[in-house]
Amino acid sequence: MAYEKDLIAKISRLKEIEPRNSWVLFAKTNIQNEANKGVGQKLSLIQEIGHLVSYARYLERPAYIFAVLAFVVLGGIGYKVSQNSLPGDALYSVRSIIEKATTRNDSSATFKIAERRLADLRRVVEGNMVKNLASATEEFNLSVAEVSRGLLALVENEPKKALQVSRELVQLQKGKAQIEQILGATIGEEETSELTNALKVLVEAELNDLQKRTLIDEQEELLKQAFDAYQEEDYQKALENIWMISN
Amino acid sequence: MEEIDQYFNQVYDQYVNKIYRFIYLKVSLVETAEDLSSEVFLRLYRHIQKNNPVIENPQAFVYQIARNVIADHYRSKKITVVSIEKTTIEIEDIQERTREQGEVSLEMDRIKEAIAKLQGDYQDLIIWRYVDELTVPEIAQITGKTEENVRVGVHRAIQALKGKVDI
Repeated sequence: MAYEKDLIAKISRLKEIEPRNSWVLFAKTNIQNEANKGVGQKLSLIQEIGHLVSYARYLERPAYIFAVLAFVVLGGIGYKVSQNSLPGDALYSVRSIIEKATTRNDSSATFKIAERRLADLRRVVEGNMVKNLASATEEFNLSVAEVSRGLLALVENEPKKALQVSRELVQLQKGKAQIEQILGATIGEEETSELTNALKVLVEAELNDLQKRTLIDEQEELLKQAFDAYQEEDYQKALENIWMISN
Repeated sequence: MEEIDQYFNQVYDQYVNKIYRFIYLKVSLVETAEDLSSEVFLRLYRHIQKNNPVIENPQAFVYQIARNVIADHYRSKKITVVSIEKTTIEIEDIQERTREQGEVSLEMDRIKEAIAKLQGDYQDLIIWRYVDELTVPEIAQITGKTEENVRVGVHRAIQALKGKVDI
């Protein structure tokens, strides 16, 4: 009997087995994401603006002026509050529209947006905000996909600028790696692969260009190291060597 | 939609640890336990989406899904016999991983190993009764057996375990 009690006591200690916290958090949002695929698609920017503009017809009637004034005042307050909102919050769509409307439509602007999305994701992860995690991850992945397309366009049209923005891009990748470490999971494998491919194209273009130039011994050595890193598919390291040559 | 998420979150938070532990004790690998646990809760979410969000007995329901998921897993793997060598490798692997995570002591590994050697039904009964500390009526609801059958089953499972463990 004592033997049996001892055995049961030891069995009950198995309740100390627990899943990793990061997995518990990530799995929940992934499940909700997976199950809701295709449900409740977001409106495009044009649809959202069109929706807002449709309300302008009420301005034809003076009786609505006070309502409009109230709307403006409350809108101002809403604007302030929305600037601090995160993906998944009710006011985030307001922030998103304002950001899109006030950001230039060029490649460097997409990097700025991606940096903001990364900062949002970091806030969500560090603050353990489970309900925002899926949206923040999705928004970040979308911005990374934009960045990849932007970088490819820059490599083709403005190679010098591409090399310049690649510094910010490497910082973005490092920030993403830190968040992945906290979560214990990979974020957006497909988007990361697109980004890696864009970096590969940039490194190839830069290496081809450098081969045509006359370099001093020190630069030749850096170029060799960049080639080695490229062969090992370590494009970040290859870029760091290319930056040193270009400086 | 919000109602579904709210209900799912409530059930998930309440049972995720138990379901993970139940599966982990049966499959003995962290990655597999995580994948299968995710599958359990994905099936739960889809069920809630399709039907009325409120499930009469969520605990019995998620354990039943877990048993189905484990059965599907082994069916897809077509596992019939696990060799002693493979078991040893897996145990070493678990020990290394769990030691890192500070989850399970070596002594607990020995008990875990002994439970893994039991037949499936006995494993379930031991885990539910002594690890998850479910009552006999609760186990009866999950298994669909009478309370008396559950009591007898638990007693036999403990006797079987005694023969497998050296304490």
